[in-house]
Amino acid sequence: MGGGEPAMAALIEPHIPALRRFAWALLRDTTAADDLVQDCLERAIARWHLRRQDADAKAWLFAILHNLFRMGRRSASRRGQAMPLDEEGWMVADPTAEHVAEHRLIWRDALLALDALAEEQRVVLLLVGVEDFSYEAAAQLTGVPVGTVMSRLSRGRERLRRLIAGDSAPDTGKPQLRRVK
Amino acid sequence: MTVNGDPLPVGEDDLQGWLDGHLGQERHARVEAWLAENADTATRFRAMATQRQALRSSLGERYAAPVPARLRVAHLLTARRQSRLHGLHRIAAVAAWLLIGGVAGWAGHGLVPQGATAMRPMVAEALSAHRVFAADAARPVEVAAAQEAQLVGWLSNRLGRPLVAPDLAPLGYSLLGGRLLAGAAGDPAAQLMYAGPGAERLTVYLRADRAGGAGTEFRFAEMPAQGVTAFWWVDRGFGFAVAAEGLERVMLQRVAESVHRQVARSQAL
Repeated sequence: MGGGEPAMAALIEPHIPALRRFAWALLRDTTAADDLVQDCLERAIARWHLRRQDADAKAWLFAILHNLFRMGRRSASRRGQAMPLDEEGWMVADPTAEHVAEHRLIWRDALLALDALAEEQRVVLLLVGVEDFSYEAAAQLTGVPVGTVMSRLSRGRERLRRLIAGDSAPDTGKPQLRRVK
Repeated sequence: MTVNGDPLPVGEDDLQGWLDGHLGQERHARVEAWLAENADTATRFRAMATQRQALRSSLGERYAAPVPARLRVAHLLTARRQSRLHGLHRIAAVAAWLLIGGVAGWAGHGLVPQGATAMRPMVAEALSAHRVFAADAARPVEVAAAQEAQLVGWLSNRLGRPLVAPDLAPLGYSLLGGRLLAGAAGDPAAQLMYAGPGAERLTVYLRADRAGGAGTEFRFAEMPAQGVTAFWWVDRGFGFAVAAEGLERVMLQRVAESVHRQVARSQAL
């Protein structure tokens, strides 16, 4: 195949906006997200010649980014660091938001509600619902069976729906505000 | 999708597929009809469809935002070339990253040998490195055999011991070249790659290995799922593994013996 660096750039560049969006949705911090994307691109460039020729460049790039994200998470939790706070800092800004009615208002924003989901669910919801990956591609990319992707998707979406509807469902318990410092 | 005109019952997967627009026309119509009869579920899924759209919209501006210069491929390539000038550490670091997580993460399985935890790290690295680089038709080696003296000098220098590139021509294998890798403990490791009569690849992997529990006798190791096998041994603090894919065990052992003999004879190691 070949084609050298221009060909590589032509295959990678179109996916950078989507990679930035995915990274930001996971980290909610523009600088941290772009650092993650840069890391991803550096690795992609270094490993370009190892890429399977028939592999879809977009899925391959997302797989690298997702892998780096998880590795970063692991080392962050080992160090006992807090997860990055939302840029909006809404939980910090409004300590009175503990009231359930307030929560309901907050959950109306799909993006904020997304944060209340388990990380695996969030990843799948973003890959499938926003980045338009097929279930099979999302499964391969995250290294889990398709059935697992389907159940994460199904549970994640149901949880999101309940949060936004303000439905204090028995299976979810009270909304968990995971990023309060 | 139909058996005797009786369509498959609508399942959770159909409903998710409906949300994501992944269904074919016929199935989509079938799900629509089913939703018309199941008002509660329909309400739930229409709410989810709205939220799916809300999520996409709220991330839309992130997608539309201009890409910062530091994320341009051209920029990253320039930075990479500059850092390459600093030496070959970077190649080793990238290679180590590859061996540890990269391709394994992408493939989701298979790169790190099954039961790798039980396997001696040096051997697991040898098998993984064989799997990664032997499959790479475009760039199997970092330094080609044409610069053999340079290759051997470089690897000797990095491994801190004089090396030789074993001559395997009598067995039908010619040297393609080699590369520097990083072993699990951070020790530099060398991989020499050979091509057989049918261009099949064979690699010799070596690095300092001071972990006890192994002697100079040959041992056999394999990644069963990939068909990569190796004979390995440890001699005076140095580990060696000769790896190939789908090669007869007898032949592999003969190559390993030849490597072992040449290394011992040269007294270089």
